[in-house]
Amino acid sequence: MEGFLNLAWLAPVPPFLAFLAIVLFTNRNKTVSALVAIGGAVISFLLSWPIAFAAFGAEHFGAHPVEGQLFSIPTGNSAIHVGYLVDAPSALMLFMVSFLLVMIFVYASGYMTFPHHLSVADYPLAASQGKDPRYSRFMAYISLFATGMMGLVVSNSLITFFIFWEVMGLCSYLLIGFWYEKASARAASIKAFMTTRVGDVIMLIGMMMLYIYSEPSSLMFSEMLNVHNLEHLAELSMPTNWAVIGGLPIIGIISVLIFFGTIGKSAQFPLHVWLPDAMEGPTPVSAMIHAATMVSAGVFLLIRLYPLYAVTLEAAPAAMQFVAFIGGFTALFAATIAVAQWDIKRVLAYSTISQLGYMVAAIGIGAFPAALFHLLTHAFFKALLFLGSGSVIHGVEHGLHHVHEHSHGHDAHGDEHGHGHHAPALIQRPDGVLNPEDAQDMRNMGGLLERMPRTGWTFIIGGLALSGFPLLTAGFWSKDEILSFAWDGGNTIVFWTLALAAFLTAFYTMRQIGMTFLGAPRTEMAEHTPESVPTMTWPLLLIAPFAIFLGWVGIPGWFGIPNWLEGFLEHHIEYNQFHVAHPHFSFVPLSVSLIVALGGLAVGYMVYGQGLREGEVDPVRKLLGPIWVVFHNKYYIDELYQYTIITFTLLLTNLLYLVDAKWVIDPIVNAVGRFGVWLAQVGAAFDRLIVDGLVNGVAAVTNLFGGWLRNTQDGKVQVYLMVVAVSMMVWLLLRAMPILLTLV
Amino acid sequence: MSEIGIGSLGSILPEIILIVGGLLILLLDMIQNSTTYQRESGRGFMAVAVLFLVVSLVGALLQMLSFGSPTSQGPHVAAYLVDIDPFTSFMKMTIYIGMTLVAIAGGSYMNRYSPRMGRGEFWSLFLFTSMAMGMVVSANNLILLFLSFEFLSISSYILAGYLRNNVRSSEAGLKYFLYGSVASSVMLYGMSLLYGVSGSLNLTEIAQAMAANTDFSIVALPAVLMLMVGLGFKMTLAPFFQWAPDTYDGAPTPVTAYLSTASKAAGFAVTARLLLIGLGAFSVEWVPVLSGLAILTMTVGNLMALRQNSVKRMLAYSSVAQAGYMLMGLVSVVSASQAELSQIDLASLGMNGLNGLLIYLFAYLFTNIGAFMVVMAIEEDSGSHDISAYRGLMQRSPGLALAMLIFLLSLTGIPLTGGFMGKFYVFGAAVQHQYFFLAAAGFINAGIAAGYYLRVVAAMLYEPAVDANGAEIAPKPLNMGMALQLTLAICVLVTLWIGIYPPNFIDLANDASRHLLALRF
Amino acid sequence: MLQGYAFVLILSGIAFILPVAATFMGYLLGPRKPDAIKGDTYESGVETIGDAWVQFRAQYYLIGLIFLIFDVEVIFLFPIALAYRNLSLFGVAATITFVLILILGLLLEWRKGSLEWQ
Repeated sequence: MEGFLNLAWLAPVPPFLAFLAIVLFTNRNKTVSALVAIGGAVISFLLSWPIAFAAFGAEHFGAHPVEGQLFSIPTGNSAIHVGYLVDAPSALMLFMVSFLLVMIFVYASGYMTFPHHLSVADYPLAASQGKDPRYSRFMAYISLFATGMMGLVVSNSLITFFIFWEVMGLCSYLLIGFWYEKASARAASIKAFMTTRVGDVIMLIGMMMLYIYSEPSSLMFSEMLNVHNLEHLAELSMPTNWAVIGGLPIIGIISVLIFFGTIGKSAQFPLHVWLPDAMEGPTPVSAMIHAATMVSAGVFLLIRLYPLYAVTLEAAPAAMQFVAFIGGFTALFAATIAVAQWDIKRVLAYSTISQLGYMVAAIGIGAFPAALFHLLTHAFFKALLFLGSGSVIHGVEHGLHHVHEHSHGHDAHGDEHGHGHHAPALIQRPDGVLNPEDAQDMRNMGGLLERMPRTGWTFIIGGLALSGFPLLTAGFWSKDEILSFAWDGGNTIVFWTLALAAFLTAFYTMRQIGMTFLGAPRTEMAEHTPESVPTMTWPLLLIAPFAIFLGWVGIPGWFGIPNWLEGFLEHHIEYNQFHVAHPHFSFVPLSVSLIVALGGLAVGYMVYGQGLREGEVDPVRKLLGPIWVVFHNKYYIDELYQYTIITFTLLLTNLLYLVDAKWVIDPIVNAVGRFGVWLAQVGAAFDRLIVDGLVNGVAAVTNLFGGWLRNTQDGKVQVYLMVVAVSMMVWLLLRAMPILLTLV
Repeated sequence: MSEIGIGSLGSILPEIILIVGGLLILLLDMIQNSTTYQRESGRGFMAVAVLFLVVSLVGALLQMLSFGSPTSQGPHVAAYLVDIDPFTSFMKMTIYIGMTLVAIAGGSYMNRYSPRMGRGEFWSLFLFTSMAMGMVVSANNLILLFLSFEFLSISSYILAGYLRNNVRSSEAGLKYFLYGSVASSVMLYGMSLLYGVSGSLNLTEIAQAMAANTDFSIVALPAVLMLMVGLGFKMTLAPFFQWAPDTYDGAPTPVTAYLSTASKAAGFAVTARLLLIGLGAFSVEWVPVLSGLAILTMTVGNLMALRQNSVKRMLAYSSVAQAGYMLMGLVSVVSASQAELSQIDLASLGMNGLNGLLIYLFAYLFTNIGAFMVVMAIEEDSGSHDISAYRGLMQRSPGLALAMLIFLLSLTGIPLTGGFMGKFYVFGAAVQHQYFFLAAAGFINAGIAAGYYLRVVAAMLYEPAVDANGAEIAPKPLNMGMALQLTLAICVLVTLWIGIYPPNFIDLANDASRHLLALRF
Repeated sequence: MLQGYAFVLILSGIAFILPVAATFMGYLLGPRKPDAIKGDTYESGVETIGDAWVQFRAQYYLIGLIFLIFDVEVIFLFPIALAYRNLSLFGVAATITFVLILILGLLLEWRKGSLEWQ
């Protein structure tokens, strides 16, 4: 079984082969493409779980991670060793990622029906198949995406980690803009790409510094993260006297720079803006990007490099305070926005940002196991929620479709309505603009639990897990652990921030459940919503148990149950020689997490328990007034960026354009160009008269020699032999003559 | 050194297999009566020959794999007369691969054109030739070296003149024979000089004796010169190349294909062993000789190829020129600034010249066999070697044209082909060892060579097909046998493989070359 | 020892130079008055009869070659016969193989009709 771990490098391979197969061969056939993609994910899953469980089952696994090299790429004095690494965190990630990928792939195969924003006339074939016209392409993209994530998990060096990281970046760009007919999707994909790129560039600088200052220079995790190197980094300080970073140890700078990668990838403030917009992509993509894989990759980066951060915590506390601050702030900040959103996926998006903030904050205060634990549980229940919301949207769209067909049947003059592409009248409300045909707006839903029970109940399970419903759900235990770390470590501000965020989380989750599933249907389309197809609901049913039971592996020791996760990670921590505090039992965090979870749910149920009545304005809007509006408009951050950074950039661009094209550069270039042309003419003349003559002359002479030499080859053997004899004699004589002369 | 016994024959098992195969074919040929002769197509002989060649190729491969890490052990000496080491195995492998390819691709051609009664003899001679090459590259004793060298030459004379009814073929065989016998006898003088001063036939012992007394350098040069006449004849070095164009042109194309590759490779292997081991201490003497020969060879070969209209003859001259590039590798074993061979730190040199030569030989083998096979296909189709027969080949048979394109590019030395890797390593070694004039001559010649290779490319790709009178005709497709197609595919793939992903071959060549260089004492 | 080689070199040098010099001197000094008799083929004073190009039967050489091969075989077998008592089993086997190969050759010649005088 142990030897099986050496196959870890194979995990990213099947999805990649699936990607190639779809792109090259099966792209004409949508069903086969889906099967190939799912097959790739399943094979990868079948490889990953045995690996993961072999790791879980191994004695003291953390103390002997499996590492291997596949090949090396020589680079000057050193070499990039490409290989794989399975240690405790990556085993846990393999467990989570491979399973969720299979679920998402299956779900996607059912979800990617013919989208409503396309016209049937343009894509008759796809419409008749009832599938998205670029169904196969979608399958190929998500397979590549899966490759990126699996590869990232088993990478053994920061280089390969970063390569797979960027593969995912590319895929997220392609997938968010998948429905590129929609302007919003195009914009969102570019926004996601550009925003994460900002983080990545800064991260790359950090990586370079890490490489340069490491002893020996290496980006292999095993070499880079050993204690000696980290202590060496901690002792160095910046060779500058700049105000802010002058005295800081190098390690602090590196930590913060690399952390920017996480800020971009895991959508932390201030680079969080791309994630809500990324909801423009198909929902399986949202589930994959925002729950299971990509945003987790950001946190996984921190977990992977935790030995570095652990040393930073002691050597440069300010750097880690920055991390904790960003995380805590994001957690609360995003939670407040989520309270005032109507789009079912946007609520989840902000919720994701908020929960990632939790994990980042946990890293910032040194709660390494808690962060990893929350990463795992969150991936499951957030994937569940995203897939559930996708199912809801899908259902409501079907309902909308049904309503249209229905009205057509009654309306004799229905032609003027076209195919349901008429723009519906927007309703201005105090709690935001409402499009009555928007299938994602929760105000258009209500009472869906009866219409779609599977989706509804699994969504509620996921929601309870997200809110941290006490004792039972996964979310409670992982959140509780973060809170107890914060309390135990004396990070009171972080603790209370996170507690408040947890309260808001429970509140907006209940709000979402209430608005969507409880109460009575508020629109006609909600009334006609059907349950989704089995390929979509079965993944939900399969993920739901994890949203509950997975938390039980990390129940703190003082409950009398052995804390399996802590035990599993303990050896990893020992092996990497860093220290993690064991939070002592305290009633404060436990009771606080009980109170905030139950309180938030209770308040939420009181306000939204029966949904809203048709046309009723959000009660919280009435309570909070303008503050709600600020929440609703996401603190105007997008506008702020629009009017500061983007405007400034555009202005600068225009200015530079003028400098370039009108005032300075172009005139110079043109003048140089004219001079160049003149020079070229002179050169051409020179070329024609002298060089060409020379070249032709050489060619002619060469040819002449060839012809002349050819005459020596007259076909007579006696002549040939004469040549041999003569050349040998001449040769011998040349050599022999001096000897003869010396002897004479 | 161990007792001579059955066990020691294991080292030359591939060669024994070939002998047995050759004798078996003779036996099979003998037991037929005059009626079965009439029906005999030669295919059975060809199958037996290919089988035995493949078996001995596998044997050579196994031998090579059995060495493990290089230089960890001395040469495996069998029967006092042969060295079996990575270098030998590499050369054997190269040669057997070449012979196998030629047998597969050219077999049906030979069967069709050879005299009715002589098909069995052809194939047994073919195996004997292969065996002789295997022996000549492993011999470390002057007698065995000369005997196998002669065996190789004599069977090659017969094979070159095999098409008895074809005047050109007979002429080719005769010229080859006359020239070869003179060259061999001169070489024998050289060997006798060596034996005379050292009192030994064993190369290592010769080297020891020569090193013990530097006065012997007076003899070393004449010996080298005389040896180089015989060896240069085999390697087609100027000025001993003049038989080559006539023989290559007249001999049956499959025979030409192996004469220009495997046989030449054997010549280079013998030269490398003789000079590096036997006369390693006198590199001062032979380096100028060899570099002069290299420059002369490549220049003369290229210049004469320039004006050829027969593609087969052009390839013959080009093969002379290529021998010049290869010789550069042998020269560049010794650094220009450090005259003493023993001062070279082997481990520090990525390009030790010899490995360049080996890579070059290996890549050239596939390229040139492929090119000659294309020539053969065209010849069977149109009966002509003239460049006009290649016009419009792209329309007639795109596969064949592309294969030829790749071979010609490889011969030119364009990157991503095997020929480039060979040139790269050889030129690189020359530069590394500061033979700048040599490298410069090589570069100039490579430029000239592109001219005549690309002429064929242009004819294939851009010019319309013509008939014998030069009138344009509609391109008609060209038929090729399966075996030929297979061989061409293998040649193309390996040529590209070496060019695109060479590490495997470079490792092999490194092992082989380091071993030979470490052997010199 | 090397002195001896020097003499070889000197001798070969002289051997090369002398005839060249003599021919060249003759060419330089001798008067040239060619007539029919002078230009005729010199055959030891005997008048030439018929064509100088006479065909021999190729078979003659063939038989000669085959004879040579077996002659050489016998030469190889003599030392083996002399040392027979000291030979190992391997040596005997090698000798037998050698003879067998030659017998195979003889049979082949026979079979192919090379021994028949046509």
